[in-house]
Amino acid sequence: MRNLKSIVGLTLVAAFVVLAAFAPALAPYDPLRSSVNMVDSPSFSHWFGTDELGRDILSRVIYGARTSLIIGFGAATCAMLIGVPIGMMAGYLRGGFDLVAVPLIDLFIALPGLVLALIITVMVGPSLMNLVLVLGFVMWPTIARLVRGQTLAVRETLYIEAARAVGGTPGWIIRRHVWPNIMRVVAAQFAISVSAAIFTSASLSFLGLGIPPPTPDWGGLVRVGFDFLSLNPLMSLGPGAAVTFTVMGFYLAGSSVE
Amino acid sequence: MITMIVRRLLTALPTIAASTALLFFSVTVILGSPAGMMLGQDASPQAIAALNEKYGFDRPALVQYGAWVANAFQGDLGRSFTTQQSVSRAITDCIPVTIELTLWSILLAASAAIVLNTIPVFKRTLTGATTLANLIGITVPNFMLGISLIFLFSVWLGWLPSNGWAPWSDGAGEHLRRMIMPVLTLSAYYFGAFSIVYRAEYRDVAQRMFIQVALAKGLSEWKVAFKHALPNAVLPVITFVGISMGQLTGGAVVTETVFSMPGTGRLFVSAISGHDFPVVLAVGMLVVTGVIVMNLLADIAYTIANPQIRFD
Amino acid sequence: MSSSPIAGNDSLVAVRDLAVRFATPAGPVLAVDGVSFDIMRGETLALVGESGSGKSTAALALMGMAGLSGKAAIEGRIALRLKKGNECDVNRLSARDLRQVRGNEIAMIFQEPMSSLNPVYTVASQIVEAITEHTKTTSAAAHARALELLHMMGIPNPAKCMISYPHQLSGGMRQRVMIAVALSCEPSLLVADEPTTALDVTIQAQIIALLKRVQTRTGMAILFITHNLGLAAEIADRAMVMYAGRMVEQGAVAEVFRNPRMPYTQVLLRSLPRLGRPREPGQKLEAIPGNVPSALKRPSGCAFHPRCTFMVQGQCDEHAPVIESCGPGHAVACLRWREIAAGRAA
Repeated sequence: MRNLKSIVGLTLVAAFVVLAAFAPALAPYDPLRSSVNMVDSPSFSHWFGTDELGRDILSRVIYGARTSLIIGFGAATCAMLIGVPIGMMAGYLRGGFDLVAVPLIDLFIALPGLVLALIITVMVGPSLMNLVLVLGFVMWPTIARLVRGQTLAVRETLYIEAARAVGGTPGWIIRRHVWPNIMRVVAAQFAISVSAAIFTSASLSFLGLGIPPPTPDWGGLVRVGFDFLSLNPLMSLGPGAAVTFTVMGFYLAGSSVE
Repeated sequence: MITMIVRRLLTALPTIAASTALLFFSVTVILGSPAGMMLGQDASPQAIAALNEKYGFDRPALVQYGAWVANAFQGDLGRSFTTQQSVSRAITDCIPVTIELTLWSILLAASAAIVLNTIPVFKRTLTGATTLANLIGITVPNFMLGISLIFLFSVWLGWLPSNGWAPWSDGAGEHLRRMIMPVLTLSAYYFGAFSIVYRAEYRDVAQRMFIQVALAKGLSEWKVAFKHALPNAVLPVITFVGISMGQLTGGAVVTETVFSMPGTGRLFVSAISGHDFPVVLAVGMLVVTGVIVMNLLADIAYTIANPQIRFD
Repeated sequence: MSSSPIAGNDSLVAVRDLAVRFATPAGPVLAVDGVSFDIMRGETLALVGESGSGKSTAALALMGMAGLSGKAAIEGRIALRLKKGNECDVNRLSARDLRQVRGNEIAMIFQEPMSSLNPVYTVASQIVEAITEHTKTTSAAAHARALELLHMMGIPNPAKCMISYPHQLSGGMRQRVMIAVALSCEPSLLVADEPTTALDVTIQAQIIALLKRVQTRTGMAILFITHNLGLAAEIADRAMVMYAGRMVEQGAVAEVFRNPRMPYTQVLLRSLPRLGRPREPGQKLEAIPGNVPSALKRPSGCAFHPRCTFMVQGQCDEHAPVIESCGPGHAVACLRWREIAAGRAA
């Protein structure tokens, strides 16, 4: 079961990474080039049909993988950069730092991430960079909580006690002993965070606060395609499926690690 | 137990104050001026200054927050910048739609998750299918699910109307018929999340000795599952309802947009895209407060439901 | 073959060639291997063995509950005389009829009184539930009966205990409640699976005394499962020793303890500290060499041979011993029991 999960997950992840990396070679058309064939149904020359400006939807979906993966990896990295140090310090140092960090983490986790992201995005303006930062900011508490719990567990083990006994400084112990022990879990959580970031960013773009056009972006593609659902269902369901399978892939890859 | 509830209430109040203040200061001070947001990026400094003065955005943030909260307690949330309508009026119109959608979804998700993972026959034959359904629930974005349902049931089969909402005054049948797809959409994530938490809990409980004791009494498999295993497995799920409230709010925003339902979520999205600062702020504050209150209620419900805490 | 093993005698239960095989990820495990025994009406049979010897599985099989924790194949015959006088084979009952046996004909108490009661229900509801499941009675009558049972269990304040939740009771109290649950439908057999292991020694004595008192009052039979030989001697009429899923010795308690024939029983007895028989200087309590064999890799021949001091190569490790009579009502499964008994074995 666990094996199947990781195989499916890693396959999906690999497929979308390849799609993003080799988009120019794989996409049949220029994703930005419009034509007179507007809102065409799927055909041999346009597998997913064309959009309201006559652009090839399949090509736009393939290029959209780039935007999604950049946001996903970028936001997850951001969240890790904030969450991991805070979680480790709270879990290892305990004391005053922990007393401040825990309620803050709990508060942020309870708050509605998408709503928060919407508010911040409209204030700072939607751009690729801003989206990465906003999503990273919304997601860090989940990571901090996980890392804190893991650090607490490691902290109680005998070898940490031994390391302390020989006079190791907290910084050294965290680097040499705590980090290697929680790395696996953090890596798994990274994959899950990528999946969450892609999920949330697609929702943001669907609501109209994503990457500004004309850059192909899955959530935005779905938003436009939705209006033409009865004319060409693949115009929205195509990019929608891409979001879904990417989210699923990263989630499966992350959750199959225990 | 009473002291516990009182203690929870007392900690919730500062949390609400702190988080609403944080939200208020973020949107008014840290992230830029609301006047800038309302007028757009190319607004002239004079126009911004004029607007600041009109709405009092030039006062210190703490004064603004205090004034906002004081007005809010009198039911005055300001006027919409775009429609000039009273914000509290707009919210009271929208909120029943959102609450109804949310409640149906939680109800459907929780009962489906519990039934599928408790009924002995289902547990044995549908394990694989449930696992897949859980995965679909937590990974398919609401908009994708909603659009797929519309495509399937409205465009293709023509069974259900695609525009999701009708007031109760149109008749209960029509109202509920239009509620089907939005509720299915919003409950999917919840179903998956509940099902995963509940199933793990149930498997744990099923190993405990009192389950064997119940079987040794001669009770049927069904009775053991529903009377003895379920109440113990469902306890942690109650707290989970509170924790995932935030996620649900986000889902409601997307779902209302997909099905063009006149709820708070859609009000919020149109306010966001119309740069309507008073509405954004009011809904944001409301959502934050609501989520914390729901968390609190879930905690209290857990306390009341669990005899080990209730009688200590 | 088809004639019933309990027809015409005083047996309550007659088990013949019981085998329980579990399918585990690591391969099939024969938890119980061809065990036969009888339980007479009103007697106490002690089932003695180390953990992993299959004693609990054999007991669970009596209630048709051996297969609950996994996929199990159960063979053999478990004849049970019902209260109404007719008999049945527990191993061939439908799920519905099995439920009539559980709790009503055979009741069971378990090792962990801490986790045997459901934490979300009161004591009253957990006893009443057992009563109403098998008897047509009003809720008030069932409550009255529950109160009476708690009183009979020697619980100081039965009315208060009724409305208590399990976490409010001590371990001893919980086990008394469990016994009350078990006795609620007046079963003819009580299976007690290590009922005192998790309790303090003083509480342990109280529970044993309680079980004895209840037995004289109701005349039910008890199958007492334990790894503690001292306890078995105290409570049982007969004892049956199991090792690695097989029965290795059985007989009247006095006989088995005075003249143990199986080397395993002998060494078990010698590893027991005895009150009133002070150790001589330098004499040590004996420990059994080696470990209980893994259920996956059971030794060939007599399963005890790797740990047995009387083992003879080519004999004990190749031929499985059959059960032989070695005295009145006394049976043993050992190839060399005659030599050992005569003191000729080295």
